[in-house]
Amino acid sequence: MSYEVFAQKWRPQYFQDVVGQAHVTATLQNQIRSERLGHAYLFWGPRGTGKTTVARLFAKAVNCLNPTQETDLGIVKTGEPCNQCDACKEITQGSSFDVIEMDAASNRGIDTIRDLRENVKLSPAAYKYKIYIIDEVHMLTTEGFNALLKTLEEPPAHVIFIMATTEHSQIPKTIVSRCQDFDFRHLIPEQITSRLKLIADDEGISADSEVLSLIARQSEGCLRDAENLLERLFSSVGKELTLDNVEETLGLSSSNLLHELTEAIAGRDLGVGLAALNQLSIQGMDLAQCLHQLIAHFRDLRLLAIDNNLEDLVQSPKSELSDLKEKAEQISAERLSRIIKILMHTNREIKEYGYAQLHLESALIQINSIKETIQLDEIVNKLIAIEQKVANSEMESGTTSTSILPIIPKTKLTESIMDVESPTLSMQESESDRRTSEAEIGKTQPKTLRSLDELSEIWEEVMAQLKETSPQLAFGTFRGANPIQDGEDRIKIVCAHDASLSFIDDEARKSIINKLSEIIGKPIQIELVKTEVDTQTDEITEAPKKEVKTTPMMRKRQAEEDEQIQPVLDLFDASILEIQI
Amino acid sequence: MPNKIIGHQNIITQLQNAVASERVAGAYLFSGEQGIGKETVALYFSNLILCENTTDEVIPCSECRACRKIKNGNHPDLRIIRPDGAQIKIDQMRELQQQIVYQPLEGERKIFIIANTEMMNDSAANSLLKTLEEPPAASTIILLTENLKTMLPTIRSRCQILTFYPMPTEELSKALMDSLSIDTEAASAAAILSRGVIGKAITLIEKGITESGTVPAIMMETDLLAAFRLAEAFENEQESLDDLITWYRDLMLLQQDAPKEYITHTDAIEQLQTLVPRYSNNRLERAIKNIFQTKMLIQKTNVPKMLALEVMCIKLIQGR
Repeated sequence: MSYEVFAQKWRPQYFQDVVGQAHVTATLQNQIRSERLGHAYLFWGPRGTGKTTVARLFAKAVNCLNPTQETDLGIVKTGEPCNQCDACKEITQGSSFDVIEMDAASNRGIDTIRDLRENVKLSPAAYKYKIYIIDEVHMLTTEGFNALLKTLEEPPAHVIFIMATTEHSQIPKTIVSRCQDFDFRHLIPEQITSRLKLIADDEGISADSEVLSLIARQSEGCLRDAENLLERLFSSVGKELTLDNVEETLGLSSSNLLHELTEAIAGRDLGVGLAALNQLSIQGMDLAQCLHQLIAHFRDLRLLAIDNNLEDLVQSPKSELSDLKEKAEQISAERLSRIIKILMHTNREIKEYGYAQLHLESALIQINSIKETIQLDEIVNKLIAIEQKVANSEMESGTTSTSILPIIPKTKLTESIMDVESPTLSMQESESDRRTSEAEIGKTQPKTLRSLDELSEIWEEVMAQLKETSPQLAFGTFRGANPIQDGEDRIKIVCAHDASLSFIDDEARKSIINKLSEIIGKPIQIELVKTEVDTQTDEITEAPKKEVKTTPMMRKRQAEEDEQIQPVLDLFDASILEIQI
Repeated sequence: MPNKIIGHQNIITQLQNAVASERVAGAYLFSGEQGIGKETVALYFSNLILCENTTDEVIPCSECRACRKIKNGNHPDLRIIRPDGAQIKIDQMRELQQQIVYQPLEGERKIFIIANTEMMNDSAANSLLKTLEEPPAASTIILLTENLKTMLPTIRSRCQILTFYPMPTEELSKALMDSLSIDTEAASAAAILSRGVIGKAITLIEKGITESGTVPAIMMETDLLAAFRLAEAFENEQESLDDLITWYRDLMLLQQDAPKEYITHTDAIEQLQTLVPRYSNNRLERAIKNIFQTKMLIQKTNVPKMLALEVMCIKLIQGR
């Protein structure tokens, strides 16, 4: 038997050994026990969390020749494979005819699926079920997926499909809806360490809990990554794993230097910071990893700076807690946030361009130049205080000079905003249209004139009479028209249709004037205008839309080239990070 | 085939231990920048595995049949797969999958080295997943990549990842002196200029560039029209953008009064000092970012190279 890596050697052979996916294994075991099996399963989740393993276990358990096992409770069905019978052994070795494991990423076309459809019809060679495990199923072509649909919907009774993937979003909805969906989750560090402990003990590796939790943190919740890391450490370091030699092998910075670096950042000592960074680089440490450690450290600090009682959320070892708390008291959460922001930005740059040392250096310089920030409301409060002071002194001296602060009265402000917002509108409006809008504004502040209700009552009456005398006017030209008071004896009639205006001749106009004068009781002038209301609102909503289309890059460039913004940038030696509208 | 690898002692030891304890895994991923020595180490590792004279020391004997065949590049159990055109394609991976199931012919293991894995297209990378997870017994796949971040996480998770770091410059210059018999100054200049990447250092020495040079003209230029002339100069020199970045970095450090030992171009330090007042910290940061972006545009997109370089030069001169 040739050598197998831990991830292969320790692939669980019982459901109970699968770590951290109890929600999946419990459901599957229940299905096996009660013999209520689905015909298609979709396993999805992050890499190295047990999808293929559980698929194989399931294949074994449903075909196991000894489904009942002796337990403390007597002979019961546990839903576990026995791993003793021929079926279990063959499937474990991968030599069974009835468990077909397909690599959908290498055989992704429609031809593969056509073959599969042919073979699905045949009954199992030796055991109860014929099981198709389609791994990396997200790589099937669209044709491949579609060719599978009918088979997947109603497969023969002896067939079970298990599909496994890391990319759930790439699976067509039509496939997903035909399957029972099982999501595999990231493991929490404790689950990984306990599994690693088991492996380490059995393989005769001595590793204390600090080493194991370091490996667990490095593996981002994926068990296979953790097992591979342990494997690598075992094969390169040997059976004695200590924190020091593990850190060295993985290129993690030794805690000392990192400590120095964080101190330098927090204490704004650029020289020390650069020295520590240089030292890290000389020792051949992975600077990107260092950056991750830095970010984690400052995250913890920020938590403690916000609230001293948040220690449960802190990820650093408990032994450093008191030290951290002490540090957290000396630095504001605001400043920590900015440090973290700069570090995160650096992280992105390193990912994109490489050159970790250079980017970290410029991050150090940036952090060093952060000034203690003043909250915006604090500034506003100060301004208000100044304003009051000035106002008071004015009252005392009795002068009428205007306030030094160029505070624009609110009403004036809104007006000017309106002016700015609708330049295109007013240009398109005809002379009469503009008067309409003016009248509309006036209408909200009625002077001595009739109210809107009154006017529309009068209008209804006019229309009622018109319907009898000249229906073409009532039903055509003036349908949906609205009267608006426009001066003492003037009424403006806003027609709903553009075309209406051209149909109104002098005669029609006269008859309307007569009718209105009759009802109101004195001579009335009218003006007929076309409505702009609908199109106006359209334009208002459209105009900002056009602006939204500009990309953040374009906006940034615009802002950078803006004549008013540029001097500000130069003055403060600032740069534009993002623009929020 | 060199018997001794310069640098990367940490990695060599790990690999030697793996061979000695017969714990060679099925899938490795070597990551590090171009010219850092990934392929050299991969070949060395293959040599370790396939060498027929096993000694206690675990170094290739370079005398046996296997060692000689590897040296001549015709060992039947060692295959190196390189990008076919601009990509590594799924057909190449299918071929690998067909071959890998056979028993090794002469040695104890079949070894496949896949160079420039970052150039694998998506389907090729995915098609490798199942093979990487459970490689046939007596086979090893070594993936080499310049950019670990662009590899599928599912690939990374299946491999033993060994990261190659640049060598400390002192160590490198010493090694260069020993192996290439050049004088101290040239060696240390090459080591500094290559930022500890041995492949680059050797190229620099071969080209005869062993001085840290003079301040690039573009940093002193104020005339916008000069941008076009300068851009042309950059077009002919592949490496010069990397070099330019180090100059701007020096200026940035000088501006912060950083100690002299961190400066790359120590020869030109006085000249750089005179430039300091002309550059704000922000301008320097923008400049560095600008160069990085231009580099990326040239490498990864089909933007005309000359155009990208011209735009870069204009921006650098304008300070935008």
